[in-house]
Amino acid sequence: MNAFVTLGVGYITMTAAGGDAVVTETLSKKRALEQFLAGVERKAFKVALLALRNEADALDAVQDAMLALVKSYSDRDGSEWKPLFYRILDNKVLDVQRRRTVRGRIMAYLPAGRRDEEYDESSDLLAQAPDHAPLPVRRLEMDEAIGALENALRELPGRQRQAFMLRSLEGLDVAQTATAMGCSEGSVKTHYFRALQTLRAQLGEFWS
Amino acid sequence: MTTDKDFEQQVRMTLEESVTRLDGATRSRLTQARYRALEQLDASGAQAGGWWRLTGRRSVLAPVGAMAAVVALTTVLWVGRPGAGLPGEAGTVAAGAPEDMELLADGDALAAMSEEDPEFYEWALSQDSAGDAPQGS
Repeated sequence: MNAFVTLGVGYITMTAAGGDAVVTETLSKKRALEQFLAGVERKAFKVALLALRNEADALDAVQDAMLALVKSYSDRDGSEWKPLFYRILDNKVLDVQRRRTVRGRIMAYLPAGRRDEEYDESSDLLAQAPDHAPLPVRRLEMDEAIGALENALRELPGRQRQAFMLRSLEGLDVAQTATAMGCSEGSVKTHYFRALQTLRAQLGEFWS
Repeated sequence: MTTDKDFEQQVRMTLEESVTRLDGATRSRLTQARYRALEQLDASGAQAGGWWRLTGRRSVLAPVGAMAAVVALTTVLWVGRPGAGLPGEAGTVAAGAPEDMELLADGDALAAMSEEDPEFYEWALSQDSAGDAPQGS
C-alpha cells in the first residue's frame, strides 16, 4: 500500500512539473508571437489596403492571416513567421478579390434597389466630420507625398506592388519575398525592378 | 536627379510614415485581431497541458498502467469473493429489482395494491403460500 501511495505521489509530482514546463513554453511562445504580430500588423494592413482598397476588407484579411499563422505555424521558428505570414495574407487578399468578383457578378443581376442597400460611406456623418487638428506645413507635405505614393502604388500590377511593398516597407530580402509570394527569386527581382522604374517615372519629378 | 538608392530611401521613409499615421480606430481593431488570434494559443496550450497532465510522457505512463491494473484486479477479486453472487444467480436478489424489495417489505403497499388491483393481490398471495408450502411439509 505504501509503495502504491509513493507511486501515485511520484506520478503527480512528475505530471505537475511537466505541466509547468508546457505552460512556460506556451507563455514564451505566446509572448514571441504577440511581439511578432504587433510589429507586423500595421504594415500588413497597409499592404492589404493597397491591394484591396477597402479598410474593412483589409482588416479582415489581416485578422484571418493572424489567426491562420497562430493556428498552423506557431510551432515554426520565429525567423520563418514573416514570410509565412505574408504568404498567408496574400492568399487572404486573393480570397477577398475572388469573392468580390463573384459578388459583383451576382449584384449585376440584382435590381438597382437591392444594390442601394449596401453601406454608403457618404451617408455616415461621423466619417464626414472634418478634422480640426492643426496641420503644420511639414505634415501637409508629407500627406501629399503619401497620397502620391499610394496612388502610384495602387496603379502598379499586383505582383509588382507586392514585391515592392514586401522589400521596401517590410524589409524582406529577396529569398524571403520569394517565399512570401510563392515565386522564384528571379521573379521577385524582376517585379521589384519594374515597380521601381514605374514609380520613379511617376514620382521622380514630384520628389526630386 | 536622385539615384535609385535615394529614391528607395525616400519611398521607404514615406511608407513608414504612412504606417505611423494609421488612425486610432484601425490600430485598435488590429490590436483586437491580434488578441483574438493569440486566444487560440491559450486554448490549445490549455488542452496540451491538460493532456500532458492526464497522460504524460511515455516514462510516466508506467505508473498509470500499474495503477489501472491494481484497480482492475481489486475489482475482480472483490466481485468474485465468496457470497458475492452475480445478479440473477439462485439465492440472490436481482440488483435491478429494488422496487420489488420495497414492495415486499411494505405491508401497506400490498394493502393499497389490493384495492387498486385485487386480482394481482390474490395472485401474489397464492404465490406466497405456494412458496411456503414445501417448507411447511
